[in-house]
Amino acid sequence: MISRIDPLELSALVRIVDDLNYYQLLGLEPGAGATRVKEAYHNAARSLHPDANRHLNDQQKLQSQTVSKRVSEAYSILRDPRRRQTYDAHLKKGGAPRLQMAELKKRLRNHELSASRILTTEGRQFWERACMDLSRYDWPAAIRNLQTALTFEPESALFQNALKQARDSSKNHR
Amino acid sequence: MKHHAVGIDLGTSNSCIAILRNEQPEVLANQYMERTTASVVAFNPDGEIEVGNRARARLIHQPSRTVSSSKRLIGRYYFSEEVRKAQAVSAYDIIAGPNHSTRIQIGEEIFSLEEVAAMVLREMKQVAEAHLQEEVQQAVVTVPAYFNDNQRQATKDAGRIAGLDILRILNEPTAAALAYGFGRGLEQRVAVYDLGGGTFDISILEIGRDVFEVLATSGDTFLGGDDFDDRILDLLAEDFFNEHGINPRSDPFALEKLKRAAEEAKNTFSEDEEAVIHIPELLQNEKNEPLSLKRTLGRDEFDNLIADLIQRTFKVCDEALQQAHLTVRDLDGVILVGGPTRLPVIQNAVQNYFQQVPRADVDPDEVVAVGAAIHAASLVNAEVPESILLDVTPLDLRVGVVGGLAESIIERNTPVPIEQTRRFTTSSDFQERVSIRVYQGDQRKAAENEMLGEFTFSDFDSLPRGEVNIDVTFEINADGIVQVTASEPSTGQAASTTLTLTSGLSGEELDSIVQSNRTARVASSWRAPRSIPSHPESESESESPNQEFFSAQLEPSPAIDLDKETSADPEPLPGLDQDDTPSTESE
Repeated sequence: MISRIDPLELSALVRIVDDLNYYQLLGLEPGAGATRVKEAYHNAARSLHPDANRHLNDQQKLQSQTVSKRVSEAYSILRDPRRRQTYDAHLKKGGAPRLQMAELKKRLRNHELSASRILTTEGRQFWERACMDLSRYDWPAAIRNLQTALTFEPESALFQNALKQARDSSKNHR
Repeated sequence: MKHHAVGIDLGTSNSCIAILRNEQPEVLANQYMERTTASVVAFNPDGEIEVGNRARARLIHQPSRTVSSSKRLIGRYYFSEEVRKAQAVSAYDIIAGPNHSTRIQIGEEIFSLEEVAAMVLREMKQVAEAHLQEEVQQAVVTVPAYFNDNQRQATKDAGRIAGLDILRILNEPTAAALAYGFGRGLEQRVAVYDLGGGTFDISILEIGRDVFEVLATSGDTFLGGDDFDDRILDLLAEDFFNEHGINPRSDPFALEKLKRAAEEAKNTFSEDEEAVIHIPELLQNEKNEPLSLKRTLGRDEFDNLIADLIQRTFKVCDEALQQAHLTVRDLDGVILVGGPTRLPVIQNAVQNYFQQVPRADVDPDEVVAVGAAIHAASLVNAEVPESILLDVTPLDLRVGVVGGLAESIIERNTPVPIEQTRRFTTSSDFQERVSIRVYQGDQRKAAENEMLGEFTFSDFDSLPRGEVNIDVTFEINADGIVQVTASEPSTGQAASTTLTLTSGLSGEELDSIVQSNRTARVASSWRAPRSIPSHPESESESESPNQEFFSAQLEPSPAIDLDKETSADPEPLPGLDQDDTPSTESE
């Protein structure tokens, strides 16, 4: 059901929106799984989307737009496992709650550069499969493929790190 | 009593209008009891303007005064490929307007595409007013999901010219999904395969009860049922040329007859196995003897003619599914939209591709208008159960940077509304202004994208290069419409300029058109049997064309040169973020 936001709550939210990270904005635990992320986005839309708030005055409508734009931004990052990983790393290092797309893309590119450090065709093959699995949030499959990739390149820090992250995610998301 | 807000599907070939009455969607038929109205505008020599099937009937008699498929031109620059393509098949004159815009010339009069669209919208508005016996002021108008900002703005302007307050520009596939899922509490993933007269769209949506989330959308604004007609037309023209040595395309009257015959043949294949095409007296030879065209076209032959076009739609579907991270097996339903999807060859191909039978419970010609009506009602009427539509932007929003490149600021399939800010700096010493160009499209090279506009920003101190920061904020609202704001962050109270992108009609131009009200000629002349006495325009004496404005505008204009590359182009500022230490975090 549509659950309109209280105008007071809305104006409070606008004041702190720059201090909230994307998890806080959507009311999510840091390890929340894909289904939870989607639910949170839908719930935020039900209460914050400008269409749900047409009864508000002009200033409040503007506020609902401001928050909605930030909600879209948060969702566009948290729904994408690669972007989300990059954002998590950014937060871990004490980065600002907001990470705009251009900056995020630069970081993703760096990440992709590291993927060029794959030495064997088999390693690359299983790495690519693991990336596909990650993008579908299929952690068990990703873990399997990364383990296989590691049998070809046991020293690869790239594979080791990804495996560790996949295992963590798999724990958190259960 | 609450005023009704209507939903209008402004189609390339046909338009449809619907309302929500007593929580039931209702398609409103025009005065000829047709549930869709041809999007054709006839400018009769006596100054009268007709819209709909009556206008369509005039195509054959006055091809150069009758405008069809104008949606293909709206919001397009004159130099675009689509305009070239339209010029090849249109008997009316398509000419250049100010700022590389496109205009239609009928006799002495020149019309913007916004006005032509407004005439169709006005006709639809009148249809609703005749049913409701009240003035209709508010509407949701749909556009192809793949429409760019120029096309959306132009459609919105058309609404204004028609005297409508456009509550929302809604994407056609999203409207169709809403019509399908409204009030049913569904939790489903669906694909909307929308093949219209001139455009193809595919959207993948996730319906979560009252929330309709577009996961991905993709499309081709150069592909539609009209292209099927063209294929048949090509075949007919070639046959005729081989037989008589005369190219029938060179005669505008013959061309219209061929077009009509091709379209009729295509429609035959929705039901029958064979189309018999017979055009008596298509042309005359040099001895003034009439030459006719007669030919039968079998279904297999037709299917072969368009097979590659159908395959093109599935390439686009592949792309959308990939962007949504889904496969066809993840979909709970497939919704067909658009007249051409009535063709068995399309239905079979769709069923094959998606590995399921498309939903039969939606009418492909009406579903978009119904969805628009539902949304319109929920936007104005508190009693209508609300649905939240979460759409995405179909194209990358880009900004021009040095080297003729365009850097992506907001990627396609990003949920809207959205806002992103990018910091730029000056590239030469004591530069006094920067010009910022905004593009939409998926190409790295600036020139290969659609340019939305260019603006100049000069609210900053003149300093050595690199010492001035300019924050440019790009915003896409829920209509998919782009707004750009520039500010200089160091001046404390960041002087901010909101920039209107230079596309279509300028503000003054639009005001002047709205004032001149010449599209109302549709209303006054057209309104024959069912008039609404309360409507002010029924009394208006708007027969006299207001031309001064346009003749003034069409002087050679100081248009922007799209190829010139200035050194004033902003350069992205590298390494702005203090914690930016490349490639440390990913290992």
